[in-house]
Amino acid sequence: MIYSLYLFDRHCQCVFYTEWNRPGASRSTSDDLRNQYVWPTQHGSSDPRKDTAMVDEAKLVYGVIYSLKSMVAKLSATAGSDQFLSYRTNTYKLHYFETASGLKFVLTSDPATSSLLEVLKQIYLHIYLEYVVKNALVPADPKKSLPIANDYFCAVLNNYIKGLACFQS
Amino acid sequence: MILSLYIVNKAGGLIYQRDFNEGLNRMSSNDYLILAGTFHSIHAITSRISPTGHSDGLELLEAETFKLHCFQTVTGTKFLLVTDPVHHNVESALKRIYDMYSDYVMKNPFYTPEMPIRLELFDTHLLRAIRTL
Repeated sequence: MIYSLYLFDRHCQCVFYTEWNRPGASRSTSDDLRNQYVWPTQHGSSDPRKDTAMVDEAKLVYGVIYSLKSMVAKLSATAGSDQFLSYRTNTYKLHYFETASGLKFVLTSDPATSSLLEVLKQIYLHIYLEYVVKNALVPADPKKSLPIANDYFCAVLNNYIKGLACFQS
Repeated sequence: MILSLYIVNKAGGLIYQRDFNEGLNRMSSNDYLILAGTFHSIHAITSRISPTGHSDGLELLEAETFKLHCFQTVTGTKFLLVTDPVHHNVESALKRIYDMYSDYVMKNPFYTPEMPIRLELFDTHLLRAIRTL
């Protein structure tokens, strides 16, 4: 079971968040993209109360991955090359992948799921690079973080995640 | 292979730290204290950011060269065991360490709860148990 995906840029900002099987999430029976909750957006999403809750949640998630990353770096004997991969609690598992450019992918799933590192790499290589980086219409400002508002990215990501064997099981 | 053991009290203070095998970076005792405090706070936050209601907090942390297992007792004391990434059967090892903690630390009349553990009997039994695991 896959719950949610967070994407943080190198300015520590959450530039993309979406969720699938989270309790309380707007469950769409069809594959209608308009029902998919995406945060942050330029115009505000369908659920303003959730948007304000997301601000805090994204900060907490970033805080956790940042602290765990520095903790692993301190503990590890091989300085610098050791990455934190995932952690598990009794109710969920968080998978982490960081690119060389400082982009951080965070995926949460149920605790029984095996490593989803490859999935995160696929999202980066075949979805993020194709539909966000290669999109000439996306304003590229390396000093500012902009939310990813890209329907193609959302749609392809949705298809990919929903096609995974561990999506519903 | 078990690399090291940390015991963190319910306030986030490090009360016991011991390395059993090589494989982790050696730090100053002050750094270990900071590490324990950081872990204590991370543990509290991980129970809050659960996508499915309340969670009990971090149980297993995986990195490329080690795994960190956390066992929290009902009173809030945390046992952190760092092993190499392929080690199995950690749950039982943690339970055994907890048994030894209650036998040789908590039952010792000269031990003040929540304070650093400096007890020879606990050390020797722990070492013996870790070697046989």
